[in-house]
Amino acid sequence: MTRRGRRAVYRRALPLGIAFVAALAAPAFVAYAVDAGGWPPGPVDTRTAGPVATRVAGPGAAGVPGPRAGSSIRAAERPLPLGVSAAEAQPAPPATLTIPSIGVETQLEHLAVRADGTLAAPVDFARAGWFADGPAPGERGPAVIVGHVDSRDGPAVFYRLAELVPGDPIEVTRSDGTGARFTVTDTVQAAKDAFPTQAVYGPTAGPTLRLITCTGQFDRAARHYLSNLVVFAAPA
Amino acid sequence: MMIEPRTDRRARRPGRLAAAVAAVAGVAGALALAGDPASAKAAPDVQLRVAHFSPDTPPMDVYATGFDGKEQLVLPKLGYGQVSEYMPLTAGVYAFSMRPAGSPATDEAVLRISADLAARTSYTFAAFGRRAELNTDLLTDDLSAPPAGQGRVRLIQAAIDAGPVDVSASGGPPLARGADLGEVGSYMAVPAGDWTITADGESADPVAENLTVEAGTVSSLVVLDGDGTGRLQIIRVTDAAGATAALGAAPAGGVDTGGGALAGDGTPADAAGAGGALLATSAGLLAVLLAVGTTGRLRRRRAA
Repeated sequence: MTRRGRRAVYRRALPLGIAFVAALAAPAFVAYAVDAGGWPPGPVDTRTAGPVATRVAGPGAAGVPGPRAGSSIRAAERPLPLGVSAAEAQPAPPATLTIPSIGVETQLEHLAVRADGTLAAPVDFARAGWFADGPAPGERGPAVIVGHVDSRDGPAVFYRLAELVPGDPIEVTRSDGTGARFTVTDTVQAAKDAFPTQAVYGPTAGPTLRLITCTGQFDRAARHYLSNLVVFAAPA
Repeated sequence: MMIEPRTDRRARRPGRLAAAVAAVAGVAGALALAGDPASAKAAPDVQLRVAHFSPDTPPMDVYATGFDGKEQLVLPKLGYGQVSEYMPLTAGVYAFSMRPAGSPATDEAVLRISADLAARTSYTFAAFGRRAELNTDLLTDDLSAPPAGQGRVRLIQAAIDAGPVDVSASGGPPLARGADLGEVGSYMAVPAGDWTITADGESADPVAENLTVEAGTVSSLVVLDGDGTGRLQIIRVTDAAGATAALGAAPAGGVDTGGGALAGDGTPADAAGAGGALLATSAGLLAVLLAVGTTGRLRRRRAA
């Protein structure tokens, strides 16, 4: 059985599992053993309690000073270099996108919103583009990268986007040479007039990535596809 | 870091269904699917972070135990005033334990917590109060999008010595009135922009902090005891961020990303749609499996 077939079967089964879990209603949460004897003996020096108001910075971060009362709260924000969804403060803009499983290797244009409020597509059918007014890949929030599925003549950069399955790796390199790695978590198809705006552009706890292309029926009068395909990805 | 839940009942469910499908289809080849435990694992659909708001408790190592019974270090050295990033988990029951940072994992845990984490939910597991009377709470974090041009903010009252605390945003809504230690407010939508947040405790000097709320963000403000001067301290933790901070609102609708060269002629961009193609493929595969199974039965009948 192919990966895709296997995944599709699980996709059908998953809602049942979710419904089962949801039926558990409010989560039980029980503290059942506070062993005061487990504490290190002797007085605790609160000065070693580490930085106040910083995100966890891992070992060695205790020397990071906390903000003084009256200082900007924004100064309290620090990234977390741990094995969880660590977001970077201000990563450099993305330069290239690589998706090995579907043979995509493209430079990235910078995309803006047009006068009518919609997001512009890349000028070059062979290149993808990054929504430059949104988060950069690796920054907290959803980074959005858009590519054409086809041109007027043939396949374009995201022609094979629909082949992506959960777990497929996506790599972004940035203008400063650093990189960010993601893995595909989900794929959604939606009519453009019912575009899942909140799922695509809405808040995420960590740095996430969305890849968008076209799909569905083609309106030959307007010369546009009627649906979008969105691939959701999370940090690898 | 990925940890499986303590109970594997739910995680296995898809595998059982898949096994049932395979049985109906009568295809031996599909048994590989049901027999592959790795592929039966559910995707992470829960996120949880840990917050340390106990001023006289030393930095802690946080461990988690899933259904496999193996305890893993998930957050090293979480100190006072720190909030970890969210870690992705699969819904289920977990045991969390904490030991003073650097202690061997074989040491007796200082604190053990079990939690049944529901799918599609974000949690903050927070420890409040002095270590002698440590309280823990599992907060549910609503990370949904605020209205256009706004951010969502909630207040967590974690100061011990201040007494009931009032917190307000200048020219904006009161975020807390007479909040006691451990009280957590609901998220409130506030217009994006610069705010001055004032916290005033019954037995603490008031403190004001400047806060920039960006559109599309979800944040928690935490009131903590200061550095021993009797002044409160307010910290901000960004719970989630959207793609609308710069423009205030998300781009409208979808994106026009096709020239149509390959439309309507059986390409992946055909009417079924690329996303639909996934379902179509699954339906197709099932149809093939069923067909093969049926054929097998027919052949057997003929043979009989």
